[in-house]
Amino acid sequence: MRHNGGMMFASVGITLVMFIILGFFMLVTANLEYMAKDVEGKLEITAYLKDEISQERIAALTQEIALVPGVKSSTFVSNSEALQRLGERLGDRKDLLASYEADNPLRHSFEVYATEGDKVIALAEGLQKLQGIAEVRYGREEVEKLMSMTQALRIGMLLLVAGLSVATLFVLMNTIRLTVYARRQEIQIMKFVGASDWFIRWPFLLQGMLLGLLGALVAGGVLFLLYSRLNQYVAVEIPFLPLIPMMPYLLHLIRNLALGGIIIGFYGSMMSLGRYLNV
Amino acid sequence: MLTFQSVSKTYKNQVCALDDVSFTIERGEFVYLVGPSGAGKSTILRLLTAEEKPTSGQIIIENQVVNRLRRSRISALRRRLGVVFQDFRLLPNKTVHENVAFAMQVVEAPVATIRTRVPLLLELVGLSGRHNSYPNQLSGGEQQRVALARALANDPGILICDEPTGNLDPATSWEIMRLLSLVNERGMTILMATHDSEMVNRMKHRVIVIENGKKVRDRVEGGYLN
Repeated sequence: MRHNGGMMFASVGITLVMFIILGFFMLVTANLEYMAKDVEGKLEITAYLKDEISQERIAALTQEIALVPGVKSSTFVSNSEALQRLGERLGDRKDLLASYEADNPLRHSFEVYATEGDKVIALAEGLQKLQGIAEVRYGREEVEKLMSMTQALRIGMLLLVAGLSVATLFVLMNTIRLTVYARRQEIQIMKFVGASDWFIRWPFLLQGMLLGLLGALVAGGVLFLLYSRLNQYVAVEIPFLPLIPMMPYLLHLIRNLALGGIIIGFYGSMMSLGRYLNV
Repeated sequence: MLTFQSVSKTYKNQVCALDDVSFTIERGEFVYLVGPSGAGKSTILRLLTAEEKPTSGQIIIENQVVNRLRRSRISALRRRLGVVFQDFRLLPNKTVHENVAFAMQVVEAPVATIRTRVPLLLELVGLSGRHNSYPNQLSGGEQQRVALARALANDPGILICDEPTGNLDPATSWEIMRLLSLVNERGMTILMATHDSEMVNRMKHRVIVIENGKKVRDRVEGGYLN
């Protein structure tokens, strides 16, 4: 096995790259779906208030919004409450928000539910006209945008994964082939001494599976680090962006990648053995 | 215990290697398989180890028909045969002891059994002192003796030798032949393919002569005749 250390490095390397890209796409897609679900229902509208708004305006708005046609219900969400919700999302990274308690960058908002789906647009426009409203966001629009993005990304991801799988498989098979070639004398002797096919196969299968697993685990580690950095960055710079919390999702991701690595390693080895060895 | 019944073999490239060859070898016999190069001796041995399948005819080893064995059964068959090659075919990275033990590991013999049996085998072939040496530290004759010990490791029904003295000088060849004789006297059936006409004449056993794929002579009284 010392003979082809370079090839083994290449195997692990390409598995690594493939799983990083795959994992990245899986994270992005999952987050998009999470965001889409996070917007509760198509009927929710969030109306963000201007920063300089006065308490009387807020009180007045509470009345005015209720009067806008198509409103089913409306709830005021203060910026401290929004901050608290964000804190809950961050889990144990909540401490990042400590500095914001004094100077909260989030805005007050009203969560407004429309009575019917086709009233949403009109309702949103009506809300926009009210004094003190800075920005109105539709749930549905975001959902639709996100869904089509997710769809496109999914297709792209599948294509990419298919292509990368082939490449990874190829490199892995080649590595195993070299090992098989290096040990062909031993294998031949094993055969005429009467070793069963599985007896001969298993060291190569093991090698393949370990290579795949190693690539996947390293990729998992890299993704873990990157995602935790990302979470920290987003919490500070883009606080309203809902990201999937680290745990337990990332552990599941790493576990799935590891399984994928083992499977690719196993099949790569089996195929190599079948082709180059008749075993 | 070993029978070839009207065995013929034609390879894919239309070459007819064997033509209607029949013979029977009883338990405990020592049989030479002689003939010019390309006559078909190797084909016969390959058919015995199921490396090839006969085009027609039957091969029966210890009451088992082996022409159409499934792959899983082939390895089981080979465990009942001991094979010795002209080029020894020892594993270069393993010691003498490990090379012999390897044959037993492959059939998953218990470690304790391996530990007791290997020294006995090495003693039989006269190599007790060299059990920690590597093949490249041994002479040709010594390597062949290791190969013999390995072939006997799993107590095979028959010992198949393919030109075992081909790479050895006359003196060493004679030593190997004496060992084979000894093993044969203890009851081991031996089939040996060889060019070595002198040996065949000196150490007389039954001779089967193959020429152009046909069995030409089967002399129980032995001796290499042209």
